[in-house]
Amino acid sequence: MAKKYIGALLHLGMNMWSRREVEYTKSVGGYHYKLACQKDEWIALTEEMARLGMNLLLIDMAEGVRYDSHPELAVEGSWSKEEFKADLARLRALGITPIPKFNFSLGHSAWLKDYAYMAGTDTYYKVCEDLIREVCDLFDGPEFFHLGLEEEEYGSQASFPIIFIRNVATKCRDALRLFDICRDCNTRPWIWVDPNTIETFGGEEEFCRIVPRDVLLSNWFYGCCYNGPRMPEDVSPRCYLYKKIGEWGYDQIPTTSNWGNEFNAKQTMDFCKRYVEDSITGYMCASWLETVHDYHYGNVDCLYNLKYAYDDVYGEEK
Amino acid sequence: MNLKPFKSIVLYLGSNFWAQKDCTFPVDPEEFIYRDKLFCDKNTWDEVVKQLPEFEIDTLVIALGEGVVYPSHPEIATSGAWDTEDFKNELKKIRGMGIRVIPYNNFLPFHNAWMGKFAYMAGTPAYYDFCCDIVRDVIDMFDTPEMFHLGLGDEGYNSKYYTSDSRNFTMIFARHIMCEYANMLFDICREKGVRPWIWADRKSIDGFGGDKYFCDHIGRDVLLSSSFNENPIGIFMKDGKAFVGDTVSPSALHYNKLSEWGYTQIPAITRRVHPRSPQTVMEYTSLTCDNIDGFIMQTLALTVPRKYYAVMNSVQNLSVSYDKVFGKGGTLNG
Repeated sequence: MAKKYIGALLHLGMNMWSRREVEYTKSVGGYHYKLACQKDEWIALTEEMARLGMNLLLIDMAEGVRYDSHPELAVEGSWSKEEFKADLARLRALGITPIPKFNFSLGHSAWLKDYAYMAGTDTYYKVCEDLIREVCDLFDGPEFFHLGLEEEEYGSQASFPIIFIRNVATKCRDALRLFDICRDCNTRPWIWVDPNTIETFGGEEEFCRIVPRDVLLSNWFYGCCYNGPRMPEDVSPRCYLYKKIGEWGYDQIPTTSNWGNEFNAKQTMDFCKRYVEDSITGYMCASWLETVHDYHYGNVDCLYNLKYAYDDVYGEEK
Repeated sequence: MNLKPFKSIVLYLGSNFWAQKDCTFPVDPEEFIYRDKLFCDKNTWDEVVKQLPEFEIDTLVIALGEGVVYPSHPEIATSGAWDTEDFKNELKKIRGMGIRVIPYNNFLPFHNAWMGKFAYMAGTPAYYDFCCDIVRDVIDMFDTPEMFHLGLGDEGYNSKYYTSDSRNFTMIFARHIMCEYANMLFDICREKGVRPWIWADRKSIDGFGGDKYFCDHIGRDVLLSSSFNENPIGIFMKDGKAFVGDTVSPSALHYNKLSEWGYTQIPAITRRVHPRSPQTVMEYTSLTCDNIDGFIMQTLALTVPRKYYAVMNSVQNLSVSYDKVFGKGGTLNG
């Protein structure tokens, strides 16, 4: 059996939620004018990952690094490229493969500052391309490049001051354009999927027709995967999507979390191993918490949750 | 001194509150099954307790269940249950750390697998005698605590989790039996000067016969804890501030209702809905309700090595959330 990736998503940048017009407050979050990520916490969490034998770190880049091509996206405290590159070397020395992630969903675009509202313009597409190319270079040609692209529908943006949505044709066109840039950089495109996101691609049939099979998919579901012993009858539709993705012929990295309960990771792996093992490139957890001391235990709990689940479900096969 | 609500967290000594004997809980069979042997790990317990002062947690609510030997009914103790004297010494040690200890046992027939053979005797005189004995025992063991959380609430008949996979039998008291039973337990507490405390979310109130029946039969001295199990973002918050408006959910408005009825509340919070849920519940209830005495964090993770980080996640979340809303230091208990 091929070695699986097992890892986590950590946030270097954090301006993916809300809008720039919403100033960060302790209650509802919002736009960070100063980098939220605390470096000593970043190091502590990644070292914990290494101790747990994890080999994949998906890095939410966003405003976390001052990019040469677009330094105007940086905030106070953004890491220099030299500083970041040194950290990539540190991660690799720990046995962890770092993978970059930007979110090009129009619902998660605050990190793009003014460009967030410029989709459809040549400027916007050039910025996207500049950033992907620069970051691929920064990572010395990463195996994958996560492009986000989820939660663009109205419901995900309903609380925003400005809602910005692409129609199906535009979303598909823009996604294909991003995939092509990745391929041109010799990196494999990777995106989030969930039922709503699939709808923004025109529904399941259209999604399967439009999105090529080389695109790596991550369905994310953090609730109870099943409420009874009968599988697949007792499986929730959100979990069942893992099975569909496998049957559609895509590779996937299911994403788990301690967001809602303690058993999501194990249930997800149980289900995926049973039904779509051949499609599983790896597993990833996401606490969706900031990389700060205040959420240390929340982040560590998420890592352990995935590790315990992996040991339980895959045990000797690893 | 400016008094602020206390912050409490539930730590599980016993764990037979969910599945009945010979049944498995379908959601997490590894954890929520019935056990004949104590599941709580003392090292994990010690490690968590040791860190509570650092996070300024002032009240520890101990879920007892089958975890301790009750003097009046040693026969329900599970293998490995803590000896009564050892347990009392543990309480003394925790108090010495500046932490108030409060007992919790769930007396709802729905959650009483910890009662051993008595779990199958609800409705009989022997069952009621047993419950009274346990309440008295616990009050003695805790040297007459300020409060005693008696449970008595859950989603009841409608719960999707508590169907045939986790239990062979389900007994639900009619409203008048439920209120008589509850008041019997409350009265024992009152006689000893201990304030009764129960769960009181919307479905629990239905279990007591609905709003009016509950208000008519449950004294205002009973402390109430209602939980909030929805994503709070967009429900509680607007422009960064707590608000009450048309979009507020029934669960949120329930806090206001309990306040209007004249009860003192200890809202139940959990990070298992949304990491920011505890903070927003604190903010909302403190702004819109009278008589908020404290908050109780439900970890719903047992005290075992594998759940250590899950428990500590809740501890830290409680502490950080509280500090953001109320600032550090000086609670009702401190």
